Amino acid sequence: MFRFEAVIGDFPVLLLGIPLTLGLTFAAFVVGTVAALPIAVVRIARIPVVSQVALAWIEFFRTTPPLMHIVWAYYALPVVADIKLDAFTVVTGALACSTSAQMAEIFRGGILAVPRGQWDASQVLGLAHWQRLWWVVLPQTLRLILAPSCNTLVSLLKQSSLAAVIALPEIMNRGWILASETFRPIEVLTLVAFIYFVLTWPLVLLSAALERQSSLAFRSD
Amino acid sequence: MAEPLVVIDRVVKRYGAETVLDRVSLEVRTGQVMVVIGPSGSGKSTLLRCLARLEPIQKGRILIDGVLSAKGTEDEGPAPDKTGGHDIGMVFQSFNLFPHLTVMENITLAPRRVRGMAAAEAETQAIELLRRVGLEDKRDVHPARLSGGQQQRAAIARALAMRPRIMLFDEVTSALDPELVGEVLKTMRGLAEQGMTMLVVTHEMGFARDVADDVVFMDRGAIVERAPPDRIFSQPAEARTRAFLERLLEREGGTRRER
Repeated sequence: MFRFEAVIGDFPVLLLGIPLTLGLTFAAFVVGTVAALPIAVVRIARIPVVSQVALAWIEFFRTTPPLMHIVWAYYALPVVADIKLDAFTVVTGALACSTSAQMAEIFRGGILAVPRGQWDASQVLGLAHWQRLWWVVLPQTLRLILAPSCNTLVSLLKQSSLAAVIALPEIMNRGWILASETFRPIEVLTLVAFIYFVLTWPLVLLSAALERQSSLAFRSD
Repeated sequence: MAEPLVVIDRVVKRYGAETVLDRVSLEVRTGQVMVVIGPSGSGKSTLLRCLARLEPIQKGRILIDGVLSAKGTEDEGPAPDKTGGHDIGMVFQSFNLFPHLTVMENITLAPRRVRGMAAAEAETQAIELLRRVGLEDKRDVHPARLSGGQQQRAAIARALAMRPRIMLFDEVTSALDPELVGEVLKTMRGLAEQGMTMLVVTHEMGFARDVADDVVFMDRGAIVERAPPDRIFSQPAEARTRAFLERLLEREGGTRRER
């Protein structure tokens, strides 16, 4: 049967992977979200060519697995284009790309959810297009997208475990190594799952709280 | 008083194949209050939206104080001057206050960001405007905490903060509970008394009767009749105007809601 006592002594080894997991998650989320805003704005604006490029970007990264991007960037890019990136950059970049696609769609939904009258009112007041977006529409958008963004962060934290395939010593990679050293994969991976649970659970609760809050206040009509 | 402040000259507005405004011409002089009435779908709100440059027009032109403000996209000629676009203030049926900002911030946003006014100056002006619309105690409140009538008065103050020369009112009391209509009309009345040039789309015939210099009746995208209120209400020249007014009076049962 399961023998957790055989691996529990190695638990701290797994915990040492937490900073890297959180670092990957945080970096990919920030880069992806910052990139997502202009992508969403351009996508909505219907500028010839540029909007289509934004749409293609979104669709490509929404329809292809990040694992493929990681493997491709890490193993194929040096051969094809002579670009060598370190493992952290590859994983951050790949996850940031798919996050940017996800978040762009979330931003787009949030921007379009702001009533038309808000644009009209600010336009008649003389605000330029970017001022309407920045001072009037986006603050309302942010309030609407807090909960879905939080969900994106949760799934991103789990996806950061893909870094294991190119030997970045985050939680999952440490788990694999430990599993093969101890011949106790079930026990080790259960501990790994427990660590992910502890990390993501507060975010799940936060997301639920944000959802409740945004359904309450701040609507004028 | 030679040149009219607003000149609407043979304006055509289409949505796809549907013509919403069919060669509409109208002149409004400085200080005039013009009330536009007509059945729904007659194009009266669209006319205001075109004046506010929220909608492009296909033909014709709109002049504000002799300066080209909008011109038909299908017409030849120089493009309108976009720099002097703050002459027009507009108040909407659905208020459209910015829900994430306080009343004060709603009013100071445009003066600060568009005119580059200093915060203190913009706030001094906003306090004065809030006093005018009777909301001086609501400056730090968010719109959601206000009644419909208070929101609409705040929206009027917000529009006035850009010191417009023309105010457009698009069915501003239609979304209000009946008991709140009066306070908004009173604010508009005060504005008219101070000499503001106003174009008012409304179903409030009492307001039209008392405040309007001229009443314009629109139907199916065209201006059917324009006359001072006492004449248009007692002896309308056109059969369509008469039919509309009769229907309206029937529905209201002859009651006057304001005051």
